[in-house]
Amino acid sequence: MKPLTPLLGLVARLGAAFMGLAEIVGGLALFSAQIGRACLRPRLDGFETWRNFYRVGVKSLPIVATTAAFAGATAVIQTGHNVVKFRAYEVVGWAFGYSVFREIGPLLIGLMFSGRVGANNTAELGTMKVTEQVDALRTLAIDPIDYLVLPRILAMVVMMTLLNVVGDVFALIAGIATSRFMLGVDPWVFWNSFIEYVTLTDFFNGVAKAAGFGVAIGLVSCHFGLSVTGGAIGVGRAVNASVVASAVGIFVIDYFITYLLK
Amino acid sequence: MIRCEGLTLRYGRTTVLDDVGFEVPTGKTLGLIGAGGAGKTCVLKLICGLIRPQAGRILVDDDEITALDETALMAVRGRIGMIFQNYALFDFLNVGDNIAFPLVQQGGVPADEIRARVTRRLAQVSLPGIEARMPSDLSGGMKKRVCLARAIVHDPPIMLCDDPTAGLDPVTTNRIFLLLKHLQAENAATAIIVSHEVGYLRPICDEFVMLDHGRVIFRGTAEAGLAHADPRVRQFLSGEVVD
Amino acid sequence: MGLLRFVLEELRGIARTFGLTLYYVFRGRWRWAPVLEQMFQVGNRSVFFILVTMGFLGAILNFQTGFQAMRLFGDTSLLGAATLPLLVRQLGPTLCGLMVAIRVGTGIAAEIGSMVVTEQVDALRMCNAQPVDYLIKPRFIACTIMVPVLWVIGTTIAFLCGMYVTWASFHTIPATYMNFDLIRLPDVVEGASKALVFGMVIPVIAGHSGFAARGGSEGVGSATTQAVVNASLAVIALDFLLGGIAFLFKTAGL
Repeated sequence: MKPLTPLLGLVARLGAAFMGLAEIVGGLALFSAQIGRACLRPRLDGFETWRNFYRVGVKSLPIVATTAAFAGATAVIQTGHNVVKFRAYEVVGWAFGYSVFREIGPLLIGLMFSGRVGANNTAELGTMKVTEQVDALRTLAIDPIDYLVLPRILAMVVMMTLLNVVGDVFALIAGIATSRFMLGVDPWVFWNSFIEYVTLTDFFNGVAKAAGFGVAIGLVSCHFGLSVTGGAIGVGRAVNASVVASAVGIFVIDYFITYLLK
Repeated sequence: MIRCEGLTLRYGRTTVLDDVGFEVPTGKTLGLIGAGGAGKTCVLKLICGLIRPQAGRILVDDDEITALDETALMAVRGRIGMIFQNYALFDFLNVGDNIAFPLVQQGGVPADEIRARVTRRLAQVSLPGIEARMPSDLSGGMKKRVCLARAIVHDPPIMLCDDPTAGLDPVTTNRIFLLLKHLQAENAATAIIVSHEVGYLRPICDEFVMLDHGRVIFRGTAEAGLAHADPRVRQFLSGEVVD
Repeated sequence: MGLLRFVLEELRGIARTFGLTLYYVFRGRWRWAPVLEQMFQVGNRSVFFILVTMGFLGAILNFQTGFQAMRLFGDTSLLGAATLPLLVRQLGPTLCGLMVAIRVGTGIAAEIGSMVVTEQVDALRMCNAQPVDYLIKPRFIACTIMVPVLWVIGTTIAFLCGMYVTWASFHTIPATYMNFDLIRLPDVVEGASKALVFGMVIPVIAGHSGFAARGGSEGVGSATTQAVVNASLAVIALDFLLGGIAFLFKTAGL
């Protein structure tokens, strides 16, 4: 083969990268259409759905609680310097609530959820794919979308939303504790400022984001799991691609929800 | 000489090996047989010190493996050539670098000497001139032969072969065993071969050890095994189904 | 109780791997070729990803803060000056760290995990090459150098995207936005040390999860999941810890 000139090589690589991206986006769009069609005549397997609710929700609670607590504590510490400098103790609760409930909380919980649940889901579906279990389901006339995908996506959307609410509580506790012990702010001062300035809108803004992240993580992780090829190495690669695509999805959705719900 | 005494290996609550003992005299070949999951691979890895037993002793010549730390084990491992069940070729190196790897890591061998040895070993496994290819481009039988070439490149006095013909077609299987036989005649190495191909093993093995659920249920020559009281041993060595 | 034991066990394993890595960095043979190769891998794999995610982060941050500023002061001229310190010392390093944990950490765990299940790691040990020395050390050095670099790139792109959003949505011109009055040296030191620590910790945690892989493709999958969870949690926890230390230093000076 004749070596390409450097410039042509660069163009070819850019083109290949773009085609790869287009393939992922197109695959995801087709997959979403399939899910949408399946939702029109929902045939959910009750037991499978219940099992997924348990696995997704209960199993990731410790990690979500830990993440949220650290997020709350960090938010207080980051505002701490200015608060102490200007003795503006009555804004701690507000600054904490606004940043954590609206932005940091859902974002960090979403990224952790994608790592814990999304990656796990891709690995599991990928293993089923490479060990031909998905084909076995098809030969039994069971639609993998109905049986495997729908319960998982449903569980992820519902649980991501609920875990975000639980996470807000943990973040609040950690925030109050941190401001008491590191900044010396009385818990009542924190609480009053929190109740006074943080609105239900802030809270629901975060919940809406969490639901959006749940959809993105569910779609992406199932799509990458079911398109695995090439054994153990393929599964590892798919998990990698899945968490990366989920993270991009989380940021893009975050941006648009922030923009729409101003 | 390889000698194992009272080897016991547990993972959590499952016992993989239970009081396993046998001896391979210098220059002899042992066939290690048994159904899948009987613990054969674990025996080989214990001998190299890749895993540690809960109880028991392993002697390789004069070194007691269980008492050595990782640094001291290096000297012992340098005397062992191992063929892995899953090929274990480094997929980030080409065939030539894979085979040269043990020599490069040991150090002290000049570069052109390494190249000459790699070429000779590749010719010996009848795959001349494939140094530049990557392991992912090779077929299963070719990978096994490259693995064999890597295992013998530093002329080890001890050979451990973990199922050298797993998943291969009969022609390739035949070829691998012929190779093992040639090497055997040439190097007179002490060897342990794990395999299910009892028919191929019988001409090259001096003795057999059969494991079942982590215990030794038979030790001796193939003839003794065929006359053994336990039907499991007779079945395995003759390959026929006895009810 | 079981959970606590698991966490402690995991922490001990990670600490052991970390110690071994440091030992080999100072004691072992140094080869630059694999380190450069890994630096290229880390940078090449994550620079586009970090550009996209950090760009969106900068936009979101300035949206949120901008609306609040409009409501309270009716003015967004100090938006750039106010968000830059936060971006440099906290959001920049943390989100970059998380993105590297996601992109590079899972890659390391998948790579090492598949080497474990195909017995390549055993083969390395048979050839007198210690797996931590041979596999983790180059990745450790590469990440320690590259994560701070990515922090600079990510923070810059976030600041620039924030500039665009402030200009497009709040009509604050770039010249006003480009205000470096509020950023202080301690902010930069805090951000840089966070990036450095994340760069050291992520490859070790991911490699440790990779070495723990057992069984076929299932083992590789769960090792990869374990790696991204552990590495992300470590980034979030260390962010709190280092932020706390920086806070104590700053208030001590008041």
